[in-house]
Amino acid sequence: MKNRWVKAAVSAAALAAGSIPAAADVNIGYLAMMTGASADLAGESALHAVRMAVEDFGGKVNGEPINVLSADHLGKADVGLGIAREWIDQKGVNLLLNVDNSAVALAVSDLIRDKNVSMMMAAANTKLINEKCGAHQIMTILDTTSQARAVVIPQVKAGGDKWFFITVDYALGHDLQARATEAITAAGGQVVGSATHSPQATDYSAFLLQAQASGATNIALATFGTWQNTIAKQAQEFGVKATLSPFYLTDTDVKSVGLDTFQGVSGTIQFYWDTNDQTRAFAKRYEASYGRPPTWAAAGNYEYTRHYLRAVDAVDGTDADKIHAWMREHPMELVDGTTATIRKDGFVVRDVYSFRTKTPPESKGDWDYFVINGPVHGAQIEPDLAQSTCPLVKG
Amino acid sequence: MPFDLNLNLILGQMVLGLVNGVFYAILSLGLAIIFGLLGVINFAHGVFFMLGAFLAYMLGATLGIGYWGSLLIAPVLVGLIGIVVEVLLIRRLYKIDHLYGLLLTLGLALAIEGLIRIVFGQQGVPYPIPPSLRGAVDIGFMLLPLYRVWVVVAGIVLCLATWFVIERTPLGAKLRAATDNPAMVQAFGINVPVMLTLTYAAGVALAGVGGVMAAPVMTIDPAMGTNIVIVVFAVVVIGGMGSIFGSIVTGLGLGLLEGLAKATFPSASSTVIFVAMVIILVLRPRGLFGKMA
Repeated sequence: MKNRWVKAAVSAAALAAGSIPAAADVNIGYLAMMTGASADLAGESALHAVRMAVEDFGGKVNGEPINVLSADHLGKADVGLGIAREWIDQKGVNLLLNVDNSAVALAVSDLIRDKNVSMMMAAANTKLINEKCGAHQIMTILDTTSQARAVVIPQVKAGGDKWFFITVDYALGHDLQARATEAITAAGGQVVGSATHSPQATDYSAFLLQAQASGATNIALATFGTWQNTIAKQAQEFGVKATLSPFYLTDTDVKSVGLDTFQGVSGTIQFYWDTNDQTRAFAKRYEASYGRPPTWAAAGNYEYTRHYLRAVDAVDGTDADKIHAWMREHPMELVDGTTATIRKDGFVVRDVYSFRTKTPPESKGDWDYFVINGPVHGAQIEPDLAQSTCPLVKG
Repeated sequence: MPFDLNLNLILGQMVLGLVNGVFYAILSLGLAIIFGLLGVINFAHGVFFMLGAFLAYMLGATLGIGYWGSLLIAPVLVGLIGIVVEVLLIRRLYKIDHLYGLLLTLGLALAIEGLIRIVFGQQGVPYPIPPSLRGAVDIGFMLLPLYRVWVVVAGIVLCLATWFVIERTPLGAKLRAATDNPAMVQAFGINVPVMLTLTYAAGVALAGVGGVMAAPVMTIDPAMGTNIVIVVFAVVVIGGMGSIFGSIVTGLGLGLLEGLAKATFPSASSTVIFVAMVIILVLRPRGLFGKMA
């Protein structure tokens, strides 16, 4: 750790002095929310996965050391932008990783547009693969369109044909609701009502009663984190019969509220540690050094770090154009043994998994929460390239 | 469907509003006591609410103490923390402008919230409804969870008992006298600083009780206090800063108003309390029950 900082400081000093280092290290800047809403999901735990990927790669690529820096963007675009600028200008960062906030990702997207720097962002804003797409940027999670499809399609097929939305009252919530409504209608279901909640809300029982009165089969939770957790808790308290269908339910949520509250909920996730032998083997290794199974964010950061390092190795350098061309041409190996492909607009086509949560007697203990129902294929949910406004797709 | 005027729905939402109103009342009552008797605007109040909930969780997780035990022990612990805070920090602010108390307690709130976030993470911790209060009662137009019935009954009893102690007992009389004229009361042989410390402790312990009561129905997370305290400050302003009876009535009333808004025009439900605050401030700057200049 100390060495890395010394090294970063020395290379920064060398850059400031105007001399160009003879051979550049590969520097990965992990820019994340280290406290706050998404910290439990990614934060330190996904940083650990990045370090694991670097170690597995041997710590070096093309004979040069791989350095990992990390910083907290606090969910603020100006803070994230400041860190990214400093990293790029003074520390020679080649890859900005994680970037789990749409506002931060949008700001950094403009910064790196003409620079020899890559960004892999866990941000779902569809602009980032449309008008704000970039040759050096990859969206590491599903955008709102594909996320909505991934959640809705399997559940409508399973018989959930009447949907009620509880939506967080800002852009993400409204976007999710609009996309999911399209997907529900296309799949043959209907939307029977909706309610929006403010980010400060603590009581949702009113919305749950409305949902129940509407005769909904599914209550879509176009919200996440503690809001979603409280909704689930209160749904159980009021004996709500409809299935809760969260868009972003992860094992960390279930851990924090208890499986008792989240039992029988249906959703979709891009990685779950107990899916197959490969994921279990990875989880075992990860847990040995981190103390709990990896979240999907941790697995994702591992996969992207590895794919990036393979590209650096293959093109024998840190030229972002070449690296991204290589990454698009070669299938990305995923932890679960399948592969993903990166599109020109930066969207990644991969299979995700629909799940239902276990009942407490089914679960063997902490982190044993999901029953995986099977894959939802990437081709089924990816946004239509023909409708893309990304210049890289058109050109 | 913004204007769905179904009577059952309206009644149902008003009952739920009353439940929230009880939480508002308990919290604003504590704030009113602290402001009325100590002259401190206690911005850390939400944090003590949150601490009540987290202590209930910790007592359960480490010592196996259930809801009922926690309902007694957690507020006492919150009160003890309150004593430490009062003696070390707040005591020094009684003689200077209220604004400093506000700044100090705000800083304190941010620090404690940050500390809890470091220890427990952002996502919060689980807390079940006690087995004896599971299930629901049919009140004609809706099924009301038994636990919420308990919250309403216990909350209102607690509020009225507190009001009674302060306004109708010799102890309350001494307290009120001590804030009016500390030197005179001290001359009667009453230890005023100790009384003020205990008043602060009692005020925050009330928030602690609210936190334990909220634990089974809300998510216990570091921000739970901050979220609710914004509304509670509006309640206090509407009720009249420092008015004890006013804060109880206003808390319950605004809960009902919020419920009514949820039933008739849901998108206004999160702002209706603040609209009420603006109207009251314009028409009656001292608040509905305010007696202070």
